[in-house]
Amino acid sequence: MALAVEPVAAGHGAVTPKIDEALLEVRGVTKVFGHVQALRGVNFSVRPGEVMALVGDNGAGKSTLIKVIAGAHRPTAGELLLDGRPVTFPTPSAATDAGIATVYQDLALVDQRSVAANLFLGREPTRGIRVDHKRMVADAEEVLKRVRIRIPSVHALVGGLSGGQRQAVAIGRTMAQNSRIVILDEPTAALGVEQQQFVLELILQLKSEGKAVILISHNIGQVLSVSDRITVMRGGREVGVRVKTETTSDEIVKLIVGVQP
Amino acid sequence: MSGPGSDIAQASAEKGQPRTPAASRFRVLGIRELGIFAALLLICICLSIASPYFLVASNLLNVTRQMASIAIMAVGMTYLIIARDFDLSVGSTYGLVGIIAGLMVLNWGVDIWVAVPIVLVFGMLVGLFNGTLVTMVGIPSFIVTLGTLSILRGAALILSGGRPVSDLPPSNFFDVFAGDFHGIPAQTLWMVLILSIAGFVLAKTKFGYHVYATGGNPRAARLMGIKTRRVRIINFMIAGFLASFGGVIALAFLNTVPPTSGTGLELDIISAVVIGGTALAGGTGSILGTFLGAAIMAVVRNGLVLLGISAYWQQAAIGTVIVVAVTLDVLSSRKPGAERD
Repeated sequence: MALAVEPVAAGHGAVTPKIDEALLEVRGVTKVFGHVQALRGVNFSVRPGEVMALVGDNGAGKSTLIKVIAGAHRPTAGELLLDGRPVTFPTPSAATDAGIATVYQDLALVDQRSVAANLFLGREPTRGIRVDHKRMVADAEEVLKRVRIRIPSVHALVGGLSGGQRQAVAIGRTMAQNSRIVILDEPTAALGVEQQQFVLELILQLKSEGKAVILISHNIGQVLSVSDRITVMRGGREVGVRVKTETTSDEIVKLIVGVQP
Repeated sequence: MSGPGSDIAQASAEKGQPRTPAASRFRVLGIRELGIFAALLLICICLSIASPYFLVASNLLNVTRQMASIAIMAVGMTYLIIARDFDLSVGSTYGLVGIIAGLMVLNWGVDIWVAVPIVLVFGMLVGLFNGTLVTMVGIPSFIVTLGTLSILRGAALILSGGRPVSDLPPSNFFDVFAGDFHGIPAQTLWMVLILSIAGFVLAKTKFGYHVYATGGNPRAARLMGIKTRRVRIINFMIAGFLASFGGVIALAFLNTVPPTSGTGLELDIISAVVIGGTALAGGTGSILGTFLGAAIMAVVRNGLVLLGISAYWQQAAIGTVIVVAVTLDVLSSRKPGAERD
């Protein structure tokens, strides 16, 4: 009896992750602010190891959708599924705990603190009552290796870093949080050309680590170069999902502005 | 006070594992603190030359006794200012708890050892009140604590009938808070104990990290799950507790509390914090800096007395020290290049 059961149990235990399965799925989400309907039943999904771009004109509902996913807003209706199971995020930290990290446009860094302190902001490792500084520094150095950027030291103050370095710290923080889904809100908007390139490489690094990346950007060229699929939003709902290799910037722009192709 | 390289000190202060022996020395005394320490040393050298009575053990111990209350209370103010808050009510709390404890003993026959914990808890409740109004209602701390400053001062006048509360019966309470242990003033020992604990908590614990984050970038701190309201309320409670502690020390030392006791003390305390290199913009500062700031103020006062200079000049001298300190601080923080490790 026992002999017969064991192999079966082992077979069930070794579940192979299906790459086609959505890691995160948004189903029919609406969001109403007073008299304004910001989201009108959005569907959206992202898979592990995929860069999903989210594009749309100002006011299309991108930011609202992202805030719903990141736990900053509660949806009025509709549901979020993580690994196929419905989830709710009452706070941003609930979303972070569930493995969804957001790199905000202003990066949410504390300039007066070190790179290490910023990488572990709000989740500092402790030993007894002390912050385990040794471990924090070691882990921070590990993260910096993964983001492959020249930052003088994990002890350097974030306020003294360049725009690209700061972006790397903010993206590195999502790695330190071991998040599976990373949301990037206009990560290249304020950067020079070389630093933009560097951030795009970081996005591919996240992808190669098997993370699901949601990229919000106005730069269609960048979106097409780095993403796998593109979700276009207009008027509070998604108006099209395109695979990068099967679309053109012309088609994306037409979807954004609402011109029939 | 704090030289152009002061921000490097901040970085080196955060090093758990210094890479070189030279760096390990900076870890104890960051470069920002080193600048303030140098200023203190310079003032001490000048005073030793100017007066034969300055560099004498009994005088120096007396200076530490005089600075103890301000340094202890400045600890709470340091926490608050790092997190971008203020507490103007600490001077009134300091005065009122002396009145309350004194009246409890004299009028109600309460043992002083029962009265002390009660007033310490009272101070924390004042902090809870301030912190709740500031964080939950969203009134700027400057306004809220300006209000409590007046309320508590009024309470001290009402309770005491405008007369000093004096002559508590003998008790070992006086020895514990204002006596001498092997020649060292009790206040000095309390100061060392409290500042050591507070310095450890601020620099080494998660709560301390969150105090810095709350002041450095409140939005970022909140987004990363730090309960900034809780941090700020705790800060106010620490400040209230330590203000009461200062009041208890004053009661023990003088055995008399005028209802106006502690008037204007909040400004001395803020001065000590600011001279100590804590930026009013939030996010930076240290307990060691605050200690050095309080020491500079105490030494300057002591020196002026020893030199026989009129008390009227003392105010102006302290004011000059503040202006110089803040000017240097602002100039140094304008150089982003200096922020690199």
